[in-house]
Amino acid sequence: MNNFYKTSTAYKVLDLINVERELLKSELVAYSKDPVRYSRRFRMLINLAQYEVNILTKLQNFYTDNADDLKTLMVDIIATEIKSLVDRDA
Amino acid sequence: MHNPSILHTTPVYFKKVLDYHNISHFPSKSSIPYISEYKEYNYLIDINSVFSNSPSGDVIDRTQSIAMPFKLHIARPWIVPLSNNLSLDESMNKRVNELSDYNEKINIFWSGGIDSTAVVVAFLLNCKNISQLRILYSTSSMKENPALFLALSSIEQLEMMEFSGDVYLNQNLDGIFITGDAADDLTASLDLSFYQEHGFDGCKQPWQDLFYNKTQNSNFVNFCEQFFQKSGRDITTVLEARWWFYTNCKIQKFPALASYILQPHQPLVIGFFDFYDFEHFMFWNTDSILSTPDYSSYKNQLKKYIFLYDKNNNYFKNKTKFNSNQLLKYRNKKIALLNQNAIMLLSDGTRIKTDNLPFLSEHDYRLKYQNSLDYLFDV
Repeated sequence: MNNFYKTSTAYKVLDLINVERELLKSELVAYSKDPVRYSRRFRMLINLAQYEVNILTKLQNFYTDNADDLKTLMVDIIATEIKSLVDRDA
Repeated sequence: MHNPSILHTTPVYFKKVLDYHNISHFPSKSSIPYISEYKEYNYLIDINSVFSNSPSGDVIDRTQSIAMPFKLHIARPWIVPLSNNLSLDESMNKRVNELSDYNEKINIFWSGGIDSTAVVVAFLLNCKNISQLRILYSTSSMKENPALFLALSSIEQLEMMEFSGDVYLNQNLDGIFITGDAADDLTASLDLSFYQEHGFDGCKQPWQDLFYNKTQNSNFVNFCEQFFQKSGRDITTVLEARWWFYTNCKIQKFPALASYILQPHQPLVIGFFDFYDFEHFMFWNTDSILSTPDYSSYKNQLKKYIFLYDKNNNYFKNKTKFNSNQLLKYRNKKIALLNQNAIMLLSDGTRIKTDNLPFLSEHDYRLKYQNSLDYLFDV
């Protein structure tokens, strides 16, 4: 299988992460005088970066000969995981 | 020694694994699929869909009379109780003694809700050694039951640990882990949404009407007539049918889910109410599940039990079932951050997972497990 679906998945994953990263960046500014929230947003940014490394490494290492393995469903799962990482109540 | 069986599945991965084992399946209204040629198993999924608008989680059959398409673990087979032996107090006391006998630290996940608060009260009333207890709480617990939080904090020898922040990500606590799970299932798991949709009268109407209205399938209703008889008692109302379904088919779901909050080497979570004495108490007392049209009368037996300890009139009168999902939020974050995704959880605590989850292929699955899991699908 060529790399089309893998590349497409990488794009979608990076886009999802970027949306959350931008939001957290703006909250860093907004909460700059609130030490608890500021510290939590910083930690979320670090968690997000760690997740990004992990998920891209897995994607790079992943082998399949079935394009269905990389279609939308997996992106839905990743979107849910990213949301749970930046859940302000977790 | 027996090979471990399936305790919990993650449907999105598990459906693919069914394909790898050549088990034909097709979509249902639930997150778990119908399995071809397993009509009765599929009817159990349909019952779940009658009771819930967004059904999820594995269905089991503790009567072990329905053919299952794979080896699902049954921790406690269904036993029809012959008599009403113990009161609620006595059964709670017996359970505390049983769990204390492990002689290990007892970690109690306390959300502040009715079920986990009843667990905390049971231990405080009956545990001979309070220093054996460790209460794991979060800010949500404090919000849900502030009075008890203050009371607990003032008890010397009682270890309290806030489980939020990064604590749950890296904890390596010793001992056993207890939740308030199974109380919901054994009291018909009556969510507010279902109650608002059907009302008190709807809960007390003959179940056949609801089942037929939802499915227009008389074969399904006939199956349920037979299936409900296996409870060993009359099932007349919607509420009783709901009690039987959740008691028999769903009781293992939440402790299994909660186990993902722990490290893989730690023991599986124990649902405090998942034991025969409380189950038998409820068998004889289904009338008390919802005693008045006021939803706050739901779980009144447990609330009375709590009240006798804390004398908190406000909590007793006004507290209602609330899906305390803090632990699930922690669990989801931990799974994502620490790479703890799993295709399924086995009854011995083994997490079946491939190296690149959430990306899953047959190549990765076979590379890791070859044919070692075939026995789970060879029924």
